[in-house]
Amino acid sequence: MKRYICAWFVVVALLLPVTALAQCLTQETVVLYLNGIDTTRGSAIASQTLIDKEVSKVPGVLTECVTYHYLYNTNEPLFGDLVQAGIQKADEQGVNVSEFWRWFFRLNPFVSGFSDLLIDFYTNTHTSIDLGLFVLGDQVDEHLVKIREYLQQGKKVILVSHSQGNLYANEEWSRLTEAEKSQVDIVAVATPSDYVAKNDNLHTTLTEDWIASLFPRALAANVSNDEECPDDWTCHGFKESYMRGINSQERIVNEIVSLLPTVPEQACRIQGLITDWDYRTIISGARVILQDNASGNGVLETASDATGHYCINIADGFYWLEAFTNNASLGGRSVLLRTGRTEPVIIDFPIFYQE
Amino acid sequence: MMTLNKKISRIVVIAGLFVLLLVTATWASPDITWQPQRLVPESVAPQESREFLVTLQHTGFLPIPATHQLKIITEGNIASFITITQPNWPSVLKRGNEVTVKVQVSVPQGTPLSVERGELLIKRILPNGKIKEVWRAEALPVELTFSSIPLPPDPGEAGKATLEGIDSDQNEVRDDIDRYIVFTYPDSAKKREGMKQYSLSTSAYLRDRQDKAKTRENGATDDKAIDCLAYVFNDDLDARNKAFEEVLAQFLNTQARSLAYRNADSQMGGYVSDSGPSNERLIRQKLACAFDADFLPN
Repeated sequence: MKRYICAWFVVVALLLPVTALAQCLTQETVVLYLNGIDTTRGSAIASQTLIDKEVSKVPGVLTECVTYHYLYNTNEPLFGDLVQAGIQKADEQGVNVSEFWRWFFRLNPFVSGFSDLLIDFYTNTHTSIDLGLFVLGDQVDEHLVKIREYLQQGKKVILVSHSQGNLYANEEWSRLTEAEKSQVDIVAVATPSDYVAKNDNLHTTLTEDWIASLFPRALAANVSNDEECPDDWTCHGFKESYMRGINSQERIVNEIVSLLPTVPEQACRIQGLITDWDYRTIISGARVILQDNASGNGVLETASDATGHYCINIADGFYWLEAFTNNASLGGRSVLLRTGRTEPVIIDFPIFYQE
Repeated sequence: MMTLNKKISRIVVIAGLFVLLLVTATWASPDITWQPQRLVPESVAPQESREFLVTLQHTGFLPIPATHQLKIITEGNIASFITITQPNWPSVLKRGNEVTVKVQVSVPQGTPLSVERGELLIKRILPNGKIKEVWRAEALPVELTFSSIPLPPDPGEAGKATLEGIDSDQNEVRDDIDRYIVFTYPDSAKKREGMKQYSLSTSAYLRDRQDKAKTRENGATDDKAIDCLAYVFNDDLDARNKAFEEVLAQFLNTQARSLAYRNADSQMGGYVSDSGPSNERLIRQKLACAFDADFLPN
């Protein structure tokens, strides 16, 4: 009977792991990524995930209080022109259309014919088109509905905008009421605009960014990665250049973190999740001993906090985590943890136990 | 009189041109052809042996005399994998004759995932033993795929003719994409399944592009597939991004497909994605997979 009950709890633990994670006890923040023009929806979600991953590494960030989404914007006439021209160029060069997309996705960035295409596209765009035309009203309206929904739920909103996304961010922020504006921040990246509607100091533009440099009224470049952008000759891509270069990435992440809820240093700081644990049935509130896998020595002893989370600082390596109930030893119930990190890691994992 | 001569001259010239045209047309087409025109079967696994029948047809005017012994031979990298059972030749191979040829493909154990190409040719053996070409005979191109994971044949250019492409194994993934996935990730069942999930959602994204509501639904499903890929790539986002963008580039390999993608993407303008708290990201990625990634061996 006992075995069946244990098995049932294991199944519950496997099926409902999400519910066992920490609940946010403070104001929630929604980080919204607004994409640039020469991108796709897949690229937008990839950028959103990248921000999430990098920000969650920063100690003190209450990851349970932050949600990431993307606000997608398209500029059909301009993007359409670029795709049409790309197809034509592929045909002229006698290559498959896939090669245009591989170049577009920066998988094969140094194809001269396509690069000329982008030069033409951007040089014509910036000289002949009013920046206001980059923003499509119906898309702004749709974004605003969602932003207001978050605000009505009592959440704070941070718009992380890249390239053309900044024109949307500025426009959307300007349409909010004063009360709404106080709950919405903007972190601008590679903006072609001459201002950031809120937090004018929170913007990052690479000195190497060729595309941003085409917009003479744009905010001045303020960071350099001191190297060429290896996979992106434009040095403009969000995930390819801005989030890959150490200096620009650090600046963007710090700007976002400065707007996020954090906890005091002495409290439990959930820094990341280790996913490849072996789920076991251990009761919340158990005493936990961390043992070095090689030596077998206990290196740390701690107890879960009121919410059932364990805050353990461990260095890079392999460890056995042995958990005990408050009363009886359960030495056989060990959890093998692996971490490839070099910095201390705080572990947060759901634990169940049925004696 | 002069007028009559002119008329005759004209008739002669026209008739001459007609005969010339007929002769050219006849000579332009080969005397010996094959059915099918290419032998490109589905994959054959190592240690497997499969038999295919092809038909050789004589469609020309010049018969091949009985003094010549005929033989089908194999050329190219396929030679070591193919055994031909020589057919029963008619005494004189002439117009209208059809001969069925049995082609056996045997793949030795340990043959790696690969594609080998070559051709079948008809040759004539002279009484002195010399092997000669058969005049105006077509070769049969052969392309063999060796794979322990079953794969549909390479659809080639025919696979680019429509937006949907060819899905001969009816697994809802285009044959060329099926093959791309297996050839790119031969050692990881997780990655193959993840890429298949992404391919299914991308197919739907292109297919329903005219319907905004459906496109948005498909976009959300596509986001999940991209999330799942993060899980199967062990949260290596760079590798994940390159992987799905590479397969997307393969997907958009024609003008029609590229424009369809552009149309679908434009339906997404204004869209806001759905997600959950950051501390659930990794678990969410796992749950985004439509298959049990942990159950797969690699």
